[in-house]
Amino acid sequence: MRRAVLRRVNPYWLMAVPAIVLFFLFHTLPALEGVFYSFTDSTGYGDWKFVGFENYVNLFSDDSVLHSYRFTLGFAALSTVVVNAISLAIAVCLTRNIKFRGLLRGIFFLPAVLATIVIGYVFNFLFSSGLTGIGRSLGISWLSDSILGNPHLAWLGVVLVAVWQSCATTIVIYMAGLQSVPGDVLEAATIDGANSWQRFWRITFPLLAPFLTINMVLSLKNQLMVFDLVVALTGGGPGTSTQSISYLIYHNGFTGGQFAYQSANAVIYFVVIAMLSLVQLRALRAREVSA
Amino acid sequence: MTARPLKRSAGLALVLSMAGTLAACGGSSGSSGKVEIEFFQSKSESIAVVNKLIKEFEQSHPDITVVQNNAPDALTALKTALVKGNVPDVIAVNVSVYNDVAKTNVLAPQTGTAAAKAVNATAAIDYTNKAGQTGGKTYALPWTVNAQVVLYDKDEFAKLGLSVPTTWAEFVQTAQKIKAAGQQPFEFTWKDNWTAKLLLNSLAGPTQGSDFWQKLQGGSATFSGSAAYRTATDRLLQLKKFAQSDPFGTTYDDGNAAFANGKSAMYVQGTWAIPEITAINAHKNIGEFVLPTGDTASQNLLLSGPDSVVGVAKSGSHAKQAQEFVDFLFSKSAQQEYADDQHLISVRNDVAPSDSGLAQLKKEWIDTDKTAMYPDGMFTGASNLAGLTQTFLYDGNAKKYLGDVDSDFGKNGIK
Repeated sequence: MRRAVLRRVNPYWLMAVPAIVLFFLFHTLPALEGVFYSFTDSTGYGDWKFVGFENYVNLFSDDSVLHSYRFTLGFAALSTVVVNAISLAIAVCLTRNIKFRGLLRGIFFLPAVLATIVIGYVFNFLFSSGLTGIGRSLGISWLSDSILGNPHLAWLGVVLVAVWQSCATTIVIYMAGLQSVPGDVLEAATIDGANSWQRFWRITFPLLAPFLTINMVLSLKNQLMVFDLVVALTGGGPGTSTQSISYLIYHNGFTGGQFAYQSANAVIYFVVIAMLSLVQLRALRAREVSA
Repeated sequence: MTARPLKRSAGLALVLSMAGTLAACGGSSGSSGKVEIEFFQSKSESIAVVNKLIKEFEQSHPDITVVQNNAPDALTALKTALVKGNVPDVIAVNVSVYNDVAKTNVLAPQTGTAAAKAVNATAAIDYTNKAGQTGGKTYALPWTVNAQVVLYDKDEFAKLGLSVPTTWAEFVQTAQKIKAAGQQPFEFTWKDNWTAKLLLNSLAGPTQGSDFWQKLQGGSATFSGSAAYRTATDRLLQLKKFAQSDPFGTTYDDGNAAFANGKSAMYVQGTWAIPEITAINAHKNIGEFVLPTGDTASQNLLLSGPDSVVGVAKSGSHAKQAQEFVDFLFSKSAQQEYADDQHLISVRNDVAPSDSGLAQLKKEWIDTDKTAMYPDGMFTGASNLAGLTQTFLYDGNAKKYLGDVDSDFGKNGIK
């Protein structure tokens, strides 16, 4: 009897349901709870009351919130572009028949297996001791002081480390993409007299479009959520110059007693990321081709 | 108010506080009829001495076991515990987060307890009550008080023939003489923005006037309109000229090491930094003097306030045992042991610091009430005073800075 029931249930359900339940319990439910609290004046514990859209209204006139949006959006846009440009170039090299290819692939993947917090502390040290040493011995004044201590340059330091770290996984996805480009099409192009530059831009790059899409969307999303790197490198400083949105939500939400207020910030931020991803997907999908 | 709520890097704090929370998940009553109480405290540098105190307490109270739970990012860890209904029996936090803890309304009143009676530092109690906005009621006691001073290299001062400055003008001259001798006058550690705030505290605390907070609350004073704060901003920039190269790339830990190794002759810090400096260089001959903000020596004040504050959870099933432990922490022997180990100053009049420098500070300044409060104590944890001060030290725009501090007080001031 029981067997018959089991057999009638689609096995896809059997596999999907536990995952859905777990996802709902540990991800969706807390998220909804956050949305709920964003309409209250809760500090995270104790008594609270509903305040309607007050938190949301206040967000739009809060300097620290607006500043963190400016920083995060600029940071994410620049890092995404740089990460993808560098990764694509490296991926092309690593799919060629070069010496030590396996070893090089391993080395370029290393940053992905290191903890961000560790990378942050190592680079923190490099910026304050290594780079400044070079700057001083060469007499370059802007490099003689740690760029992380300079409110106008600190964000560049964060970009640099973010790019260094994010390239690893992006390269792997591009390499997979490059290996899926059919050889016969490239061969045909060669016979037609296309040089390697033309082959890349006219054949390989258009065929890579789905991978470009996924890489752009993933990088942008990852960079928008930047948190641990900021913690390890600058702590949001100097001043508030590198305070990312996630950092602000964490810092003021927990240590600042603004739990409900920052929940509202998180809700808005979720909407912003979702919309950016959708727009990006649409724009990039439109130019995808298939071989 | 010590200015060091997040001294260690936040990342480390995050990891440790998670570990702390996990540790807190353990049961709260022992097996063999023993009562187990949890002591939550936020100073990572005092873990060892607290363990020693716990051992002594357990010897005289064989039916009680005390478990220490240390978390540097105290408020986050504490909130996590509160959300889960896991209130630690005894809570000791930095006074800078006491306002947030007091709002949770989990502490029992301390008035009339043996511990409260042992505290002679009434100014520190008043200050704690004000910081917690508890309406004059005492829910937590200052465990010890600290002092923020200028640490100086006694050997270097002797070599250069310098004496301790007692006015602002002398202070600047001293720095100039050190610089002229080819030495580094100060080591500043402004990569950690709380140390930028600390310097502001030292300069503005003694000069802002004892009723400044009240005037701010009443709206009859602003930071922009305060002559004391305008002078303090000038002086911040004046001191910046004596900084080592790359002060904004130097952390608190770097600074401790640099001063310990003789890189600078003076170091503006709290007395709490002394154990960390002597840990690096045990033979360092350190002296301490009050940063002179006055035109005459009689105008100077020592910046001093409660270090940690200690309270007992009212809902705990072992509130009585918890109170016994707190009473023990304020006993003469425990105060002596803790304060000496931490280079802090006891809240009991009958406990004198065994360190001669601290004893001098207590005798000359604290016992005679020549103290000023930490200005950052007028703000809650959400305040960005540290970041604003760090930015000001970088760009030197005093007008914008004081305007920003005014609006920060509007949002995050204790009113």
